[in-house]
Amino acid sequence: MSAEIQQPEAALRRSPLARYHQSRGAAFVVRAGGAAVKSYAHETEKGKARAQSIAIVDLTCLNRIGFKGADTLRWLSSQSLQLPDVPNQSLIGTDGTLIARLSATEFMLLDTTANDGQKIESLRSAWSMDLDQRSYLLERGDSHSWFAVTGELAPQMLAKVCAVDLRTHKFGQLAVAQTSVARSNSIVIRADQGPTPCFYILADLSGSEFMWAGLLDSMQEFNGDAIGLDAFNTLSAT
Amino acid sequence: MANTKLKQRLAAPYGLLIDSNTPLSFSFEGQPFNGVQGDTIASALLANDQWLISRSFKYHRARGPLTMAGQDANTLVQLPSAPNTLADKCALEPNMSVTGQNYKGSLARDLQAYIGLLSRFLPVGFYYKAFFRPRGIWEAFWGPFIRKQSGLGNIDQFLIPAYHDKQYKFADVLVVGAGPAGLTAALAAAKQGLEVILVDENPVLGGCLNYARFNLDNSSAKDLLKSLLSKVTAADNIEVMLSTTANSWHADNWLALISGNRLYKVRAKELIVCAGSLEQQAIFRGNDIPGVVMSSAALRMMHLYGVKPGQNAVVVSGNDDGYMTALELLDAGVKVVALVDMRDQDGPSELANLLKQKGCVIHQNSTVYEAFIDKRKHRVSRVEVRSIKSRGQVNGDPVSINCDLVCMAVGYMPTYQLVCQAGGQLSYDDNSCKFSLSNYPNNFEIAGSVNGYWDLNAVVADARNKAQKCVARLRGSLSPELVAPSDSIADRINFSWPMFEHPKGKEFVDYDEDLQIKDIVNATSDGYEHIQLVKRYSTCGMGPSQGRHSALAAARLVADATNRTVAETGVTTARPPFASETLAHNAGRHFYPARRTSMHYRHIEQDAQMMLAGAWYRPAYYGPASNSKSLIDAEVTNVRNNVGIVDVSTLGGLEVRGPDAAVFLERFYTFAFAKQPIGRARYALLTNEAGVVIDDGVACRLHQQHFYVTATTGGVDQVFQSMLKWNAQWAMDVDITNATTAWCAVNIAGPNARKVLAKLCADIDLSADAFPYMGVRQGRVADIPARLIRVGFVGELGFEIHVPHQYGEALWDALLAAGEEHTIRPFGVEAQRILRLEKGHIIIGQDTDAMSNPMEVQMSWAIARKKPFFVGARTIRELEKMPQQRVLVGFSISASDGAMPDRIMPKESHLVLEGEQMTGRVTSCNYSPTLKKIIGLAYVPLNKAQPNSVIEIKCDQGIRVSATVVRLPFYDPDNQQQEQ
Repeated sequence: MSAEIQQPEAALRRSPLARYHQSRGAAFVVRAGGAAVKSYAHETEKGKARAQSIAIVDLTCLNRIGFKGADTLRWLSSQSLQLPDVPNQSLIGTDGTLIARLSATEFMLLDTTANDGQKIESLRSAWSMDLDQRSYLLERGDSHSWFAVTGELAPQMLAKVCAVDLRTHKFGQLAVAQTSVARSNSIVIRADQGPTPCFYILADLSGSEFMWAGLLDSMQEFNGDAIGLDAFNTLSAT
Repeated sequence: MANTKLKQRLAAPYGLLIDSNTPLSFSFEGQPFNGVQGDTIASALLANDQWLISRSFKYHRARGPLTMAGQDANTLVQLPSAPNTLADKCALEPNMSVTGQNYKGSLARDLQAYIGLLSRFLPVGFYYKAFFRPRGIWEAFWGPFIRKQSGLGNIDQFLIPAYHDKQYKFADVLVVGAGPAGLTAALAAAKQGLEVILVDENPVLGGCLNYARFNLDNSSAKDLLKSLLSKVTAADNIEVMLSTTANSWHADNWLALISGNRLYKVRAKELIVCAGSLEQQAIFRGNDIPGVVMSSAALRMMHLYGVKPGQNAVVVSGNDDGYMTALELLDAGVKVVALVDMRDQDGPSELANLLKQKGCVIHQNSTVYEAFIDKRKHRVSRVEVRSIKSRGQVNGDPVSINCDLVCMAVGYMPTYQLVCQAGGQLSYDDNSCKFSLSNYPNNFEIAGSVNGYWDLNAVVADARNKAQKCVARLRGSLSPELVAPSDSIADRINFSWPMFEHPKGKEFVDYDEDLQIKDIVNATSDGYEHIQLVKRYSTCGMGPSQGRHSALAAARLVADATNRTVAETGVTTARPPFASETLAHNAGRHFYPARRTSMHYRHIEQDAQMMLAGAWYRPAYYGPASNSKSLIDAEVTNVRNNVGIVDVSTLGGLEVRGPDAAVFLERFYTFAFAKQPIGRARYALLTNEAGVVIDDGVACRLHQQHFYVTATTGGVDQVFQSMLKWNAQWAMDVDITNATTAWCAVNIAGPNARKVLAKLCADIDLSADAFPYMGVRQGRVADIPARLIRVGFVGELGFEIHVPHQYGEALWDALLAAGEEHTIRPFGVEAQRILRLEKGHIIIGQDTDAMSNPMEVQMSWAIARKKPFFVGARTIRELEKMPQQRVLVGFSISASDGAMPDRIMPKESHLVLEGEQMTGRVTSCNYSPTLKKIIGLAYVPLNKAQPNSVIEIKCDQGIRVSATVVRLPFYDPDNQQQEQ
């Protein structure tokens, strides 16, 4: 179970946006050893409506991992994982883990489940350089920030910062785009939450504040704002 | 007191764009005026009978609206925060404060209007021939004088730009222009299920259908508009963007659209340009006087803004559109006192008869030869009409006609700019006087009058054809067999020579630059016969309207003067943008993609002065800026005597993994790595193929097949790219990952570093024997997974602790807490630079340049000579055979040498001199609080490289100081401190 905490300092892992979250009256919860935002002070019972319209969530503290190398497909398959057939596609595994294929030999796994990514943890434990295989672990949790932009207006808003046509009739569910968002190299994955459009955006972790501020600014004209995990999770529960 | 009565308003249905029930107050030249919602600044002024709006650039002549479409520079006005605003384009806003520009005194009484009287002393290109004699006159007089005279309007230097941003849009078909062709093309494409974006710079759909007359009772335009509008409005797959300018075309149909404060970036699979045409002026003396307008401008005034353009009009015509304009004026209650038809054959008899019935006198084979201004009203008051003797020549039979409006309808140029930006070729047929555009790219079509069609039925047919072609291409089907429509009007639309030179001049070819017929002709006489040279010599077409109304006339005049055809002469090039755009549009939002380490806010909280190092924020030092030097010195001293920590997260980090990892590094770097033991780090020096030092770091062997390699903050991206390139070329079994962000790092350094770190490390033996210098260990620090490297960049006992990024702040906190009893303190980049200088360590990029080889920076020791190959090896071997020219040495300066750290101290790039000859330069220099003297690094010739040699350095203000060459390092030459 995830434990609620008052301050992000209570966790060893902290999102680069911890100060921002604190300034907006965030309540925190420990996820994957990190302080994730449970909810903000500004969120009301309309939080779900906002998430369905346009909102942004910081998922940076959630579990994720990557593997690449010539033997990666074989190795991940041996770990009882179903994998996307082609690059720039993703799928949701049976345990809820999203598996994105970034190239013929590179994969990234993202976890939003309540169990903090047990599958990812088991992969992390199972992997070693001593396996003598050409598959190499990438700690995506520390290289990439992870934001989710949710809501019907998300494609319209993202068109302000991304040259890829992300309209839902053009950019299908679970499609992956490796592109530039707000001038930063980014991975965009469409991962609708229930009926609500949702786009994961993963970009350089050291540029988190730039990216967050840029995305938040882009959604101002649509009255978008940040939401916590509680509101985010209600979308998939719909 | 405000002019509450709008003198010249027409009742509805005139005034499509205005709401007469919503008055707006504004001021012009400090006087109150009233307009209504939907007005432009110009239309509101015209409704108040204010025709004088601006002053011309060179001669300060009175100017008023010409096109009423924002296509000319005659209505440039000054807003408080924006000079050069097009009054005929800019929407009127409540309480707007508008003034004229480019005058001295007042707009009505411009004291600089006398310049027009001097025009014969200011011939074309005069500035190339004047101002330089006698010697020094430019600096003493002309330069300041002209600088004072030049420029249009005043910039608000304290302006904080309004929020501007950008947005991408996506379309199967982008249609530019929503006139009859654009509407038709958009509908035809949409009917096939395509996603269409329809763009128009005007606030309503319809283009010329909203104001132009196409037949006697004007039924054809109205019916067509009604039909098209209802269908376009009902089409879900047509996105209409009004008040939006397609400002530039770029490769692969990438178009920049500007709408309000937003720049839209559209990538269209297919583009159909239906941009229409630009009406051209007749050229006669006084053709710039306020009240002399394009016929289409008069129509726009009436139909779009409900402005009655005058009481007594003269229409000068070279085509049938003049007759249609005359009819429109009559319908609006304007008396058309004369229609002056330049054509020698009869005009359209039906129209002519109708006009005659309404009291209009028609002067056939005649022209307006001169227009006269009412100097009080600053508006045309009379014209002199003469019969045409021959091309450009008139007879001596003047007829004087009083009028307050002159409408010019002599022809059009296609709105060719977007097409030519795309590489299209504009051609002209000297016989038919028709333009045509060709050679534009694939997935690019033009339709309507821009394509030379003028008959409405032909325009519609052409647009349908082009839409069909786009649809066929998008579907990958064969292009349909299409029949080009016939058009009986096209051959009669342009009058061949609507230009009449006057002995007194002032017949304007280019309004922007006040260029007259003789200016263009004289440019060719001066030897500039090519149209591009004429443009640059005369500045014709270089003003704000970019040749929209001067290109054709200039081409005709140059052709005539050089005995060529217009087709042979050509027109000047059209480049983006189509209309002026602000820097704010191009800049967009104000965000800088800065990178922050995970400890960034701890630095801020500890009062660090942050600096940008590349894209990264780094702490320069901790404490107030007013006390920087003593703070930095204290940070240095604390590291030397105690213990400090510095955030080195910005160091590049590269994971090199795979069976060939060691072999790869062996080839990539100068040093040897094949036999490097696991748990050891080695210095890694990188040279390029030219043997130039381009980066350095350490390679840590974590596994037989795994190296963690550091690189410089600024160099890691280049190193990573270079690794990928060589790995691809060598086809090695190696995987390379740039893990710079994934790992953050803290260097804890100083005699007490081990004691502090030991409190946080339970699973790593930190003793000197177990963890020697250049050792590498993996374990946990403060329960955080970590890689530890014993390196000594600052020359003290030190450990670089690398942990996953998100743990960085926790690590920083833990180290400070553990070091509290030792009064540990953080140090910044400035102290680190001094510490490394004391230790004689170079910084790549600062102490090296684009020519530095390892021998020059005394790093021959970092070259493994037994291995057969590394990048740059061959060049280095050759360089070693040649005499060395320079070497990087250490130098020191004591107070007795004349240098004082707070007053006179060499700086980076200060010259090393031998007499007056430059022999080297300083690369690093600072005061060493440890050694109590100035120390530095400098390139010197070999004869000055020996210790105790004296070099002379030229400092600021030319002050020369002597420095003594010393052996490196300055501090701890036996490495006892760092290896303890």
